[in-house]
Amino acid sequence: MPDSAAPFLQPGVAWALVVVFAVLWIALGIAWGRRGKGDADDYMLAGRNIGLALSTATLMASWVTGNTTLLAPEFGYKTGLWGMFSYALAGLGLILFAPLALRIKQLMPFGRTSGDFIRLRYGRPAWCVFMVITAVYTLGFLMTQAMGAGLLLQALSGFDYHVGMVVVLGVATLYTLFGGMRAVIGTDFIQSLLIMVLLAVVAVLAFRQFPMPEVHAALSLEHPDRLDLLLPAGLLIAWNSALFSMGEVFHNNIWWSRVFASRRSVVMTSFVLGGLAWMSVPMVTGSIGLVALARNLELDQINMVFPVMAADLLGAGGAALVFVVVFASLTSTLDSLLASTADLLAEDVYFKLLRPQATDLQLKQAARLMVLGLAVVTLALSWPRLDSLASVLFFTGALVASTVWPVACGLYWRMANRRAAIIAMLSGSAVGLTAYGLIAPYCAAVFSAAVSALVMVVGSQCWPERFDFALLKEEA
Amino acid sequence: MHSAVMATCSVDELLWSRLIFALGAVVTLATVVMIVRGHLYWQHRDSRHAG
Amino acid sequence: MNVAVPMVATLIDSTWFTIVLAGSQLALVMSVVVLLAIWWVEWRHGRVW
Repeated sequence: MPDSAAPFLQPGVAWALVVVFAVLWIALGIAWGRRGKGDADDYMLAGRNIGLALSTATLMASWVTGNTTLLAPEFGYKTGLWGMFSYALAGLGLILFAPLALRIKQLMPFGRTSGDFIRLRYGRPAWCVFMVITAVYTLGFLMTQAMGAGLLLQALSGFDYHVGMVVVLGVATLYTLFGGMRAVIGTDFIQSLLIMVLLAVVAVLAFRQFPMPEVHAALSLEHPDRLDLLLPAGLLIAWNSALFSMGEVFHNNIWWSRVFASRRSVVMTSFVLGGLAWMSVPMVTGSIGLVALARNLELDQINMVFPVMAADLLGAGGAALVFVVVFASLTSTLDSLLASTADLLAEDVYFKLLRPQATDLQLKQAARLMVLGLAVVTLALSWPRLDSLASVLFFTGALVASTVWPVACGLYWRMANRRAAIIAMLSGSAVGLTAYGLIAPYCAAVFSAAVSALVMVVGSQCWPERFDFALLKEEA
Repeated sequence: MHSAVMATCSVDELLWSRLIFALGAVVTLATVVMIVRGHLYWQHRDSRHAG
Repeated sequence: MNVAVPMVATLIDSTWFTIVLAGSQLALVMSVVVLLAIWWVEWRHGRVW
């Protein structure tokens, strides 16, 4: 949205909403953070016993980012049904991680991070490669969310880019800092309900005004390619979304920390339910993009199609709904990123690498400092405004997709070879990045996963290990 | 569903998109099979030991 | 080779279009209902956290 255009929501109303929700998240976060034993394990993993409701909600909320609410409608608008399907296929990452989650819980009852697994399963050299991949991805993810916060709040309510970014990042940092993983998971539960309920309200109202057969008729006449199930652009991006999401979920500590935080009896179900629940979000928001297209709605920027439709349907109320949804999406993802990445750095780098003699209190303090440090670094890197930030994340698909087979094989195959894992991650990343540059950004994850899988299978068959899974039961 | 003749498209573009779609489908399917087999193997083994 | 060829497309019809879109909205609503139901049962048994 051009800087000079009128905001969807009056700044005064927007500020009121920000203050209300900021106070709510911070107060709840501090209150929930006071539960439990207060040790490092509790701060990082919320007691290792959260139930199905909280576990499902935190997965779903963490996976709904600013992109899900704004990019998915853009996909629907530009690529139609295949755009929506392709985006929704990213839910496969959560669903396919479900059996792995159960296996992780069984093998590593005292585990804390994804880095713990890679170090114990494949050794320090593999851990180094893995940490580089996760660092690049996580930093990119943090930056896109922080930048997204600045850009979206500016577009929706006229906030200055930097002010919006500082507010969203600041709120998420505060309650994560004081409340740890309990604060993150507790607020995620409320944020996930907010997101789903408000999206459903906008969607139902949109199709009451513009029935589906009418939308179909309008699209058939003027934009039939949006209804095409063999659209080449759609075919190209479809499986990339699935494999990119698998790479993100299988390797990143956001999802591993949920595994360790959840009760064993619910962990597998929560990933399946969370994935299924999430898949409905891009389908619904994507369909709103189709309605906007069928109505020939005037758009200054295509990624504003969701707020424009909501404001068109419901006026200022609709704009307020969108603001709340976007604010909830951003904070629910940022808090998870900050908490889990801080835990990874504190456990893997500070404790296991630099100071193995650190006390429990020192570890907890380190985790807290990492939360703050990450927030400051994110703010600094995101300070210059970059408009094309969604594409920043796409190239990380080449890196993270290379970890899918090494992680999964490492959990199930005794013979999974550590050298093969290192070569799989490196070669997969290299081929994926090459495909990104020479073919298309939307196929990087496909090529990366394909090469990584091949190397892992051949390497483990030709030079099989005989790994003892009991070695993963490292005491906390 | 019905078919319609759409705007033209180069052979290259169509071929590439279908090839990459097929590759992506194969890799995704292989990953699913690997995970399901691993999960069932260890579940069966663990239940035998427990029983 | 870059020869232009007419491309035959497969367009989804109105019935399936409605089923897909309505189905996704139903799935979203059911997600909320199921999540709240699970939370309620767990809260009754003190098993939320």
